[in-house]
Amino acid sequence: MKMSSPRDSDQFEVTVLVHLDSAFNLARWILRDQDSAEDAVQESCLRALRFFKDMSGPNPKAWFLAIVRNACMDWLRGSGQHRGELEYEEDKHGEVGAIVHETPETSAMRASDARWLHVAIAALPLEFREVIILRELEEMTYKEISAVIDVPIGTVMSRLSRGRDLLSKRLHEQRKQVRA
Amino acid sequence: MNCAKANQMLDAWLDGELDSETSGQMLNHVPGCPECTARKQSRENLKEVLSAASLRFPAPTSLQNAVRRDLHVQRKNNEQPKSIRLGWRDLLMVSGSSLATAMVMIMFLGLPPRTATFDQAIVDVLAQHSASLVSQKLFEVASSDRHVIKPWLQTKVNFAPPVPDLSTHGISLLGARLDRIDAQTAVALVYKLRNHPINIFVWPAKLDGRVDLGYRKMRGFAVGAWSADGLNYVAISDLNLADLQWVSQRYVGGSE
Repeated sequence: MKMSSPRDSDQFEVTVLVHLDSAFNLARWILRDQDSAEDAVQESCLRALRFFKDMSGPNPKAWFLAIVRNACMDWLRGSGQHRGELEYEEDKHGEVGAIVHETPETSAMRASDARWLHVAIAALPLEFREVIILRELEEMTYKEISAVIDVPIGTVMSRLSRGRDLLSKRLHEQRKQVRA
Repeated sequence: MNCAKANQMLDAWLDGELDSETSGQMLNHVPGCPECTARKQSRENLKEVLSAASLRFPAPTSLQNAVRRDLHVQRKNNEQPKSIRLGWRDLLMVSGSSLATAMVMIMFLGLPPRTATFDQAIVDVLAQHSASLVSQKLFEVASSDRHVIKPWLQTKVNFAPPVPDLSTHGISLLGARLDRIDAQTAVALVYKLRNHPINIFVWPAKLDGRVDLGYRKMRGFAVGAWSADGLNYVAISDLNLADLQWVSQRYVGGSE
């Protein structure tokens, strides 16, 4: 393996590894599984280290997340889930952010938001899910997102729009249900 | 600007992705249009809900440690050529005490002539490890409690391999079973790191003292071997080499 003077790997830590949380967050949302996400990100770090010298693109974070996303796609392909991605099972994954009924109304509403949002985002088809995560949680620009998922900016825009439509619809239904 | 166009541009506008001219057109249209205003409101509601819920998954400590470890290994590999290094003192000690173990070392150094004895042991280890994965029969006694495993072992074999609790390192104990290695009864301890099972085979050696025989990839598995206090140890897993080495070191460290 051709890398790296100790200085390179110091450089690697401050420019790439600072985004480890973002990397894991993206992998965790794409793969929807804690263990696979850990493995995919660890693998990605090794790949990133290997290609660190040839780093290109709008910025290190986008570059690193593109590697992470590719690793996740490999993972999905390997487990035969690509395209025919497994249906997300609410029963199995609905445990996030349990609702505490005794709390005041607003905070109960918030806890309930967190819970159904987790489920609603996780249930989005992958192409919408990933742009929602990159924009809403990672706060990346359209240009950066387009570099991560390797599609034109116009496609980022339309997928984001469609993803938000789907979530808004769910939010609206949810609010109606809570009021009823 | 009409509603259809405004509809199309709404997200880019709210995300601050439009040029100033188009932004100006949006600003001229949206506030005066009830339909577009409603859509904008709905987007803002969603945004608010999304930012209030904590939806991010932070990198777990186990991942941070694993990455740090990998980086450390990379650094070391760049500093010195990749090889298994043994001191002369180790060599003398091994060759002076146990032929079988010396052969183990020779095999790990990849030097001819290989001996039937240890080759046989490693072949057995690989076979048993694969069989345990295929048959899903990883253990005869399934327990994460070392105080259950240890007494069970004492009734089965006349040696007592250490069974440290490594859960603080994220390595969980799954159980134990008995196997045949090199025509002897060996204990296989089964641990797990993330979703990777690790078999640690232990059987009596004739050597006292401590020798590290090194780590290498064999048939796609990571294998590490060492001997200490009259016992041979071989750890094997589908983990990468650095992780297996780390787990083995935690095992040795936890045994003391």
